[in-house]
Order: sequence, then C-alpha cells, then structure tokens
Amino acid sequence: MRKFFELSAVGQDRPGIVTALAKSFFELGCNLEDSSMTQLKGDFAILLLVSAPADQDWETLKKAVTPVMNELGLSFTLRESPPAAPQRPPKLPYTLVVYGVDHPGIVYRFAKAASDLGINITDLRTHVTDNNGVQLYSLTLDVEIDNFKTVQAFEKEVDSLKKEIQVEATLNPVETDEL
Amino acid sequence: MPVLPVLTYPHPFLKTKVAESDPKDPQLLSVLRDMMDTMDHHAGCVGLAAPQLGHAYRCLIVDVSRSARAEENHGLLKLVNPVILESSQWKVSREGCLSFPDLLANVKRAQKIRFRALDGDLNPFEMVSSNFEAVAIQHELDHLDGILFLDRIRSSKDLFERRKAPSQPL
Repeated sequence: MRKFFELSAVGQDRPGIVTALAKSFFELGCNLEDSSMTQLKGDFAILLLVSAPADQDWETLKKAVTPVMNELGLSFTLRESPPAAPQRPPKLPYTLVVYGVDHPGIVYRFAKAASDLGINITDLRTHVTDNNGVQLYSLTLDVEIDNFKTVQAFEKEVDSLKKEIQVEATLNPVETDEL
Repeated sequence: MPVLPVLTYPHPFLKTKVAESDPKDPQLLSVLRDMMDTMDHHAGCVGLAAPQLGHAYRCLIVDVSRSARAEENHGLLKLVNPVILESSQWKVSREGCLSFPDLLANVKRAQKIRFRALDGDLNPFEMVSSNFEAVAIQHELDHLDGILFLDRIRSSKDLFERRKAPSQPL
C-alpha cells in the first residue's frame, strides 16, 4: 500500500523548477501521480499528487522537500491525502465555455448556477487577454452532471445568465471518440 | 483599394448571422477586393470572412498556400454563398483568429469537405477540399453564421493564450 501526499506550491518562474522538484521526489522513492503545473503571469504554480512508499511519513517528506522549495523560492503546502472517496455513480461530463468583456462576477455567477443545481466543477481555467484594447475574459469549466433533467435546468440557467451579464456562453457534452 | 480594420470581439456584428448574398449586388466584387487587400495586409493570415470587415455579405476568402502548414490546396479561393455538402474525417487542431488576436483554441473540424459556392467571377462550382484548407473554410464559414471559434471549444483544456515571443531589439 502506497501513501498519497498533495503538494501545492507557487513562486517566481524560472528554468529548473520542475527538474528540482521531480529529482527530490525521485530520490525519496515517490511517484508523481496526477499533476497540474502552469505559468501564472511571472509565477509558476504547482498542484501535485505524489505516491510514496508505505513507510514514508509526512514529517520526513516535508523535511526533505523544504530545502528544495526554499532554494527554488517557492511557498508551499504539503499534506497527506485522505483515503480515496468511495466510487461514485458515473455522471454526464459537460464543458461550459464563457467569454466576454471582463467585469467582476463572471466566475461567481456561473459557478453558483452550477452549485445551486448540485453540479460539481472538475476543472476550471480562466484567461484575461487583451483583445485589441478590450480586456477579454474567458472561462472554461468542465462539470459533471447527475442526469439529463439537471443538464436541461443548467442549460436554462446558462442561457438566462449570459443574457443578464452580457457574455457568450455555450454548454456542450464532452465528446469521446471510442476507437 | 482599402485595407479595412478587422473587427475584434466584442463587436456585435461578429455574432450576427449574415443572409445569403445576391449575386447581382453591384457591391459584391468590391467587397471581395476589400477582403483580398485586407488579407494581404496581415502577414500569416490565410482566411477572412466578410463580416470580420463589417460587411453583411456571405463571402469568404482563403489561401492556405500562404502558410507553412499548407499541404495540398487550391491556392486562393473566393467563395460567395458557400454551402458544405459533405463533411468527414473529423480531427482536432489548433486555430487562431484575427478577431481574437491573443487566443488559440483546439477545435474539431472535418478534414475533408465537399462544398458548393459561387467563385470570384460569380460562377457556381463544387469542390472537394481537405486538411488545413478544409479547416480554414469551415472557420470562415462559421463567421457567416455568427459562430466564433471559441463557441466550438469542447473541453476546459482547449483554450490557450498565444504566447508571444519578445519583440526583436532594433
């Protein structure tokens, strides 16, 4: 049985962050499992799940990782991952794409529409880009929906929200090509 | 012959569906000329739709031979009232758009299409197009229906900021 730990870290971007991080976990006998790392303007942000040998404990891991993080100038948190949640029934995967002129509340309004219907957000990305002098906000989020009735209710909410806050928004099922 | 400014989002005209153009419309050929001049002005541009220039005409031009990505292609195509008759071989590829200068998106399009349209001399024709040229035609044809490439994103991970190389010091 391997143990799982979650690391989140952020700091000024520079070459070598991933290398140093991967090296330190490799030397501790850990595997990098699910991860997401990206540039946020001038910073680099890390979300990482690592699996470690069963005899590895949080203190040892933290002690080993801390000097690497300090050297890289990253602030971080490390915690032992709770046991896996019980298997849930399959849900319907959908993606919502929203874009429009930047103004406060876009993420909040659409996230609330989802959570009010018990819809879980599994991935969310936002970008603010300069569109020929206009600040353009784009939001993409993947959601899991219980059933078609809730899909229809969410579609209705998305449709009325996009008119209310004057953005473009489309909800589409995630397409899977079975080959 | 004027190079016209390309409309960028949120210009409302980009979300408007354009009605079929009358081939007898005396303005039609000058619209196509404006589109050509504007495309020539933008290095790397391989296609334009009339609504991107604020023209309510169902016209598009593509010329993927201007791109290093181009495989087999028909060079410059001027299409009036294009209609796709058949689509096949769907594939995801990354697109940009002059109306969203800083964004790129992965979009699924047919790699092979058969379409009919009027050509630059307003004669009807039918053609089979494939790969990048077919993708470009579908992207531009979407503009005629007020559909923008961001409307076709199918996963949260399919939208990207265009990372610009730092400008060359002079």
